[in-house]
Amino acid sequence: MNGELAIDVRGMTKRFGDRTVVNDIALQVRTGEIYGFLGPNGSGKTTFIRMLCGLLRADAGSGTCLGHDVITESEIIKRQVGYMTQRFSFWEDLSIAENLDFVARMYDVKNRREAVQRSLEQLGLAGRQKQLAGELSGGWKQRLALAACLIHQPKLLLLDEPTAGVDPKARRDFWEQIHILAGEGLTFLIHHALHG
Amino acid sequence: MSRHPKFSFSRLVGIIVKEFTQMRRDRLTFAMMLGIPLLQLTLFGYAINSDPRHLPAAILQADRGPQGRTLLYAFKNSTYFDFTREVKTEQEGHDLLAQGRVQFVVNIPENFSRDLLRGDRPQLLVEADATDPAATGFALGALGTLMNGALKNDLKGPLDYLNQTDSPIDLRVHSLYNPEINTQYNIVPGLMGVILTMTMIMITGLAITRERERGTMENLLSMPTRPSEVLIGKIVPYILVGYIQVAVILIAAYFLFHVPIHGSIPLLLVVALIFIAANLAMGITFSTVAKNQLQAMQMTFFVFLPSILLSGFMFPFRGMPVWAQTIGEVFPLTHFLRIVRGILLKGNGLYDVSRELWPIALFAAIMLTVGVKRYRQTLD
Ligand SMILES: Nc1ncnc2c1ncn2[C@@H]1O[C@H](COP(=O)(O)OP(=O)(O)OP(=O)(O)O)[C@@H](O)[C@H]1O
Ligand SMILES: [Mg+2]
Repeated sequence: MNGELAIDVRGMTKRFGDRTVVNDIALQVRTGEIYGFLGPNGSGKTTFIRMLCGLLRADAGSGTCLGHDVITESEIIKRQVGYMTQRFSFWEDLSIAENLDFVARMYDVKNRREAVQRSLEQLGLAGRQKQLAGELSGGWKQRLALAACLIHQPKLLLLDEPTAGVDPKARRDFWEQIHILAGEGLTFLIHHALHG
Repeated sequence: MSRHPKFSFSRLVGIIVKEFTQMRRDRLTFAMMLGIPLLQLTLFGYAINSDPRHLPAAILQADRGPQGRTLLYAFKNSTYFDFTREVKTEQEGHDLLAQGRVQFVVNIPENFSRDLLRGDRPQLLVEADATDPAATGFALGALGTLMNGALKNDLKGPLDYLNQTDSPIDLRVHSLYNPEINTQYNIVPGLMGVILTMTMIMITGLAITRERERGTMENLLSMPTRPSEVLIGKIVPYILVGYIQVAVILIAAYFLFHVPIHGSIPLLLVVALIFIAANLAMGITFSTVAKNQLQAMQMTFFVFLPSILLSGFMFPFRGMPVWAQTIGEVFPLTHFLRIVRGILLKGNGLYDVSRELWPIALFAAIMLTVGVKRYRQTLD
């Protein structure tokens, strides 16, 4: 697959009412690449990512994501993509382990229990697996979200401002993780707000 | 448009486990689910009266004489009774009562006219389905005056002396199923339906809107789940809650209000399952339509009020105008009330309840289909 395009879209457009939020965006990301996507607040980064994984219907545009049509095959794309939302969106009244277990079930992950255990250990969450997600600090929430996005071994990770509001040490740890994963062949599309 | 993955049983189980865990952690809601039945049971101690007319009745006319006919005519004229059926045997009459097709069976025995004219005080037997005393009370109360008035014209001249005796006819009224005319017998089983309707619609009404408001919907939708998996997965855990309520009410009905339990409890539990599912399906459908939790609550009350008013819980069903009865027939509660009263008070079996059961099942199926169709798989 190396050298192939993980994301290849053009003309992507989204309107809310009469406001055009994403206007004619084209993007090509090669497999195994870490692609950064910068833009000021409200520029439509989140909206664009949501169109890629089928959470919003594009008003115009075409292309492929992991070789599948972004407009008509979003159900197939969903199975191979990990999407880390900008706002923490796991269930705060479930524990860390319960959240991971739920996600694993939704993706029909084989050897579910082992997969959950492995992901807890990899991310250093093993000691806290019984803790409710809602009681975690921002940095830990972010680790949980990343762990959950990885549990079904996606080929492409879409990260929407993953290090916003996280201290420098946690941020460094996070990027180390990302680089290890990229070395294993994962593709990344990472959105970030512009500062200053 | 987009190709869906196949319905996956293991994903369904995953959603059930998640919902169940969340429900267990939400202590306040759980306590309310138990508290509401207890509160309502204590509040509804009294009945609401009205004066229903045109109640369906069956006639068993064995008498060939003119007085029997006069009497039947007087019954009709009172506007309390509509003779919709004619039966040949007492058994036929009993079956109609048990199935709720008629409210009364009027039995004018053989040789009624002859015995009347001889002054032998013939019997006139009126059997009433008294599960809902408010529905039959007025009609039965009117019987005595009605009869004496009717026969005044026939008992003239030499027969006039018959009018002087306290009554020329030996009127026997059998109030079936609820001989002591106890309104609590009617209200308490009815409460089971009312409480289930209210709490079950409300609890699933919040199910999808809650995910939207907490932001977890984005996560759920980014996973390869099917609408039917999500909706059914969110319904199943609450069936258990419904059953806990049924148990609480049954225990209170039996031990606190001494409501007799003549029919089969397992049958009641099976029927309750379908009824609970119908209400949960309605709630979840509201949830897919509503924009937020407040809207979902408003929709719940929008349905709940007409349900309790038009189902026969508040007012005797047969006392309502036809248009109201027609609307009432749509609500699962209407049919469930008849079934619960039938099973508890009349000892109805599966055959008797089946004709009230299919409308509930149909309602559940339609609601769930609408819900699955309405469930949006995008955030638009
Ligand atoms: N569902 C929606 N309905 C209407 N308008 C929306 C919707 N979602 C986003 N918008 C608008 O579209 C614009 C782009 O939003 P988006 O969240 O994509 O920006 P962003 O680049 O991710 O911003 P941020 O850096 O703050 O996360 C915003 O002005 C927002 O108000
Ligand atoms: Mg954003």
